[in-house]
Amino acid sequence: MTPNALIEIVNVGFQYAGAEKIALKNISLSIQKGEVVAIVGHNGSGKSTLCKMLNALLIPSEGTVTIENMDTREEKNLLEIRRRVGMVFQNPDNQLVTTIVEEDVGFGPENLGVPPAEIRTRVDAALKEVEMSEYAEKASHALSGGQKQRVAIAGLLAMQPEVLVLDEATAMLDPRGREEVLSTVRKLNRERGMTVVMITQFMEEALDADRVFVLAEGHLVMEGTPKEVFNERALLEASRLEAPAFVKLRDELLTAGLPISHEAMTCEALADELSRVLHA
Amino acid sequence: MPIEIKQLSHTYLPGSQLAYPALCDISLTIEDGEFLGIIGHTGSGKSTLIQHLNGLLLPTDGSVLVDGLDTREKKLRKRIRSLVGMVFQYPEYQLFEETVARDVAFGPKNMGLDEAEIKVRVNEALVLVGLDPAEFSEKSPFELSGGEKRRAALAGILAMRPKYLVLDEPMAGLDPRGRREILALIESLRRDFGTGIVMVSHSMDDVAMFADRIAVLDKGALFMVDKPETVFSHSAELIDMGLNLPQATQLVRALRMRGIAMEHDYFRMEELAQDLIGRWHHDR
Repeated sequence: MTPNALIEIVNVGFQYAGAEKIALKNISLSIQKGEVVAIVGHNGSGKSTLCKMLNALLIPSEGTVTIENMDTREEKNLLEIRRRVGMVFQNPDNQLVTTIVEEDVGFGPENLGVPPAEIRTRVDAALKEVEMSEYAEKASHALSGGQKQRVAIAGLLAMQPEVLVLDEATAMLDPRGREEVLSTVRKLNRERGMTVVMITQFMEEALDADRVFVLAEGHLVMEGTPKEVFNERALLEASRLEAPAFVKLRDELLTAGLPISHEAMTCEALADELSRVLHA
Repeated sequence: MPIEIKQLSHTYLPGSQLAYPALCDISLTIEDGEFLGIIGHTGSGKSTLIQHLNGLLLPTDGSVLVDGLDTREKKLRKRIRSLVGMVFQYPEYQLFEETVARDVAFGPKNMGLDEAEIKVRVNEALVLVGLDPAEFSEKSPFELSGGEKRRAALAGILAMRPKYLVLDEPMAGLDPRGRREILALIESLRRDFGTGIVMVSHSMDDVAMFADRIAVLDKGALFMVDKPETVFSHSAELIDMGLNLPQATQLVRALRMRGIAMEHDYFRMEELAQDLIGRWHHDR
């Protein structure tokens, strides 16, 4: 066990009822409070299965998942685990349950039995955090995809969770919507120390994480900083993934002999390096 | 013959208080065998536009002619729909049959083809999308992986041998290799069969890769339609519309901001790499 781990996953295996294939095999990892971690992997690699274990939507067939030392297998822990682990899913249209934005945000705390005055305070604060205050009384169906996802995040914040789990929450959004959601999440991490688990198919999104976990065929095949993981180009390819485009460009330039840093992984970092080299 | 969109306007719920003008005076010709990319942020009218291409929506004003056939003519609609194959977002949600082969056969069956021809088409389509008929025909669509389901759904459209293929975000939600495979498949349909491709995507890199021309929609109007290099040279306007740029173009911009004179607005990474490498050798 890692001291102070918020999420502790130990030797977890999982097989769906009636399925031939094993969905997850012998996964162990821990996530610390305040960390941003990304989980990447090919379609069918087990990412979403793992994600659903984090708030006891699925219970491991083998091994254990604990959230702040609460075992997800114990029925008595369920409500508290689900309050602490907030999930945002892929489809913005499937997550809002009421017709008015602020009612939707209040839905969670209401179910938790929070007193009405306190709900009001939480709803206002949560909408402010995701910069949706001016939409409080608007109809939720009329929002854009990015706005819907931010309202979904506000609904979780109103339950005062310890961790936000985003299961491909940007997959169906346009570039602006994606950026809205990502910057909201980054801000929550920076300003409130919110722990974030991001499952994504966009390797560029994983660059912002403190650590990246790579799943393939139900196995955890790599973990490390984005730099460590995205430098393993062959292993990524073998896992049906690829390095972000700027990492690939950087490597091509390095191979051609340009004296740029091995550290550059983003557009801005690469532009800094190139302007140094090309001006010289 | 092409698809001609002439002064097309579309208003949802016309005449009511909720009337919403979604498209305004769009004129555009999609040439035979062309690969046209369509970009625009959510609500710009992309989905409304493509639903006009096979008569799912009809013009409020103007017209859409597919190989000269007017979509407003009800009796032509069946022919139009066999010419224009439409692949919606997450098409795998529409798989419904007990086996992959029966699902793929659904379209050809509705076209009234005979059993033998249907069988040929189903096999052909499965091979095209890279699903071995011997292995996949008798499987339930629900046993397939995400990427395989997407391809099975695409096979169902290809089995109708459409002359034009219209795809709405065909790569959404797929892993990087899955994205590349679908994109390569789409490009091969154009190359090998001359299928005209109309592809809507939020990924500028994917659109930039193969499109001959790109149509940019903004608030229901056609902002421009032109070759990728011309479209992406309007980077400031695209950013204002809530779009982003291909990653190569982003780097070109970042370099210019640092005082490096970049002559071209590259949109393909390989070409940018060659320029940078050449420049570095030259500087030395």
